[in-house]
Amino acid sequence: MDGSGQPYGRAFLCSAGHELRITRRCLEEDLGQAFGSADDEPEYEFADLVDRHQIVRGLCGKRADDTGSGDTVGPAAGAESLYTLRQGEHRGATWYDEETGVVWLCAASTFHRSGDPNDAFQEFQDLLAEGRIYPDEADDELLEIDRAENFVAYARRDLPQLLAAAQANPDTEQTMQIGPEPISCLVSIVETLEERYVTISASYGDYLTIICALLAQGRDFSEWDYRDRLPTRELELRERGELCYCILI
Amino acid sequence: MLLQVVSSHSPKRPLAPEHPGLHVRGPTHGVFDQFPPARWENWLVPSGVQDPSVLAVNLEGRFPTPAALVDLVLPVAKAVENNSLGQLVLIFCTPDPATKIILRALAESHDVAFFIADSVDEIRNAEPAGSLTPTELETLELLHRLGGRTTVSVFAAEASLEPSAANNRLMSVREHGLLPWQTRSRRAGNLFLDARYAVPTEDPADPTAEDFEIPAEVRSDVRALAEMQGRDPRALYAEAVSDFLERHRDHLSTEHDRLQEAIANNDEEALKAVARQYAKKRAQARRQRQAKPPKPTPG
Repeated sequence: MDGSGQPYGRAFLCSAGHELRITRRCLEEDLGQAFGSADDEPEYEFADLVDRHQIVRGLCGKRADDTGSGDTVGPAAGAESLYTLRQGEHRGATWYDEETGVVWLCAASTFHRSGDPNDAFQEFQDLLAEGRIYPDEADDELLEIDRAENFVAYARRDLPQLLAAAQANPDTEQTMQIGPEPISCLVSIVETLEERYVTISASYGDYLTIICALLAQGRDFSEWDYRDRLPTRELELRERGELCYCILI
Repeated sequence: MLLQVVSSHSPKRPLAPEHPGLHVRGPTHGVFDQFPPARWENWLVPSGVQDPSVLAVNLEGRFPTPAALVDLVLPVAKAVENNSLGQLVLIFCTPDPATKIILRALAESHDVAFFIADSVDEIRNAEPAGSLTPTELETLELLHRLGGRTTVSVFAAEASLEPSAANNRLMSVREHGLLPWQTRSRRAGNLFLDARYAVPTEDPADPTAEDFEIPAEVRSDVRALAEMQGRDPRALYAEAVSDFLERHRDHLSTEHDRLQEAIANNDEEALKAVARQYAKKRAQARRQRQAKPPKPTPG
């Protein structure tokens, strides 16, 4: 498997910053994966798919560093363009969602014979015309679920380290990339008490309680106060939409 | 009952964080030349609403005589001014120029104030009516440019005023009954609301619901609002998120307690369950915001 990155849960995380995922329709209809009813959350590991499907290996090899270029499936459609993926005799169609940073494998087929009604590209065109080729609501929801769960894993692992670094270096802001956004922590000693500051992007607002719970275990949320600046600098509102909270321990 | 202000929120449910609730009512027949006897309490019943609310009286397609307008407008406008109906702002909706002239004259001659809009759909462009000074009109205009909500500190910064001067200007407009506000912590500052940004009342998001989420409209309108204000979208979004988090502290505190317990028990599944609860709403909000274009058809 070429391409820089690694499989993680239901995705392949690329060193370039984006991730690779496969739509449920493609998994079930094109790759033959069975997941029970439509309401069931599909349980699988991306790493297993890499082992079983050549087109998925092609996805990792060719889309880890390039989100899509070259031939399109159907006409070029700007941000909605579907790009052709070739891996040996296998063909696929990928779409890059710039907002979420995900390259989706939207369709896959092993048969390619121009003019044949079962030709891979004809199948892709048919899916496109039927409006079934792009990720749907269920794919989007699963993406959000995975990212939320991944954040928990990262936060549990990394926030204690971040706090320890801040405690070891009082009044010096420590920053760590936790998930797609950085989180900063600063500790100030006030007499015998410790002021813990945490700054996050506003896009992490949903995770504020998790972050606060991990940074000050055993304390009430009511003890955390919003701050409009750090002791050492102004918040980067314009650049990052930063939020800052503080607790006195 | 011609008009009734109804409570759109139970006391324990949080008010939608952005804007006051909009209630639309109107007479049911075309031409009317009188209202029931002048005791407006018979047709306008205070319901104990304390949340900032806007009453839009829809006169579109209705043709009140001057006398009927006097009977309709003055009692309720006076009640609003006396604050006997809680935080309520009036907007009269009519495209009829003659009706507007009478409404404006009533406002100025009887020292009451309300807004006048062409229609219920044009409330955002409603004009204030009443004896307002140029400074008070300027205050409303600036509030409009700020997206319909502001604190004293934000207003002061935008108007290049000292906070005390900014507060005086906002309170001056408030005294006309045109500027409802939300009382908040001293640190957060009271939030002044522009009635023209009222949203139709509906069941507010219940923070105890499993899929409670930062409202999609906060994110979806941020860029448009930021452009209107001449501010950076990220800064505006951060302000909206922090305001939202402050308003829902009680719910977040409960969630935080659950997380603390999960951490103490090393229960990663419980932690993930908390993180997941907003996933569906986030996905929905993004799809709505993106408003996925029709799938391209083969050329």
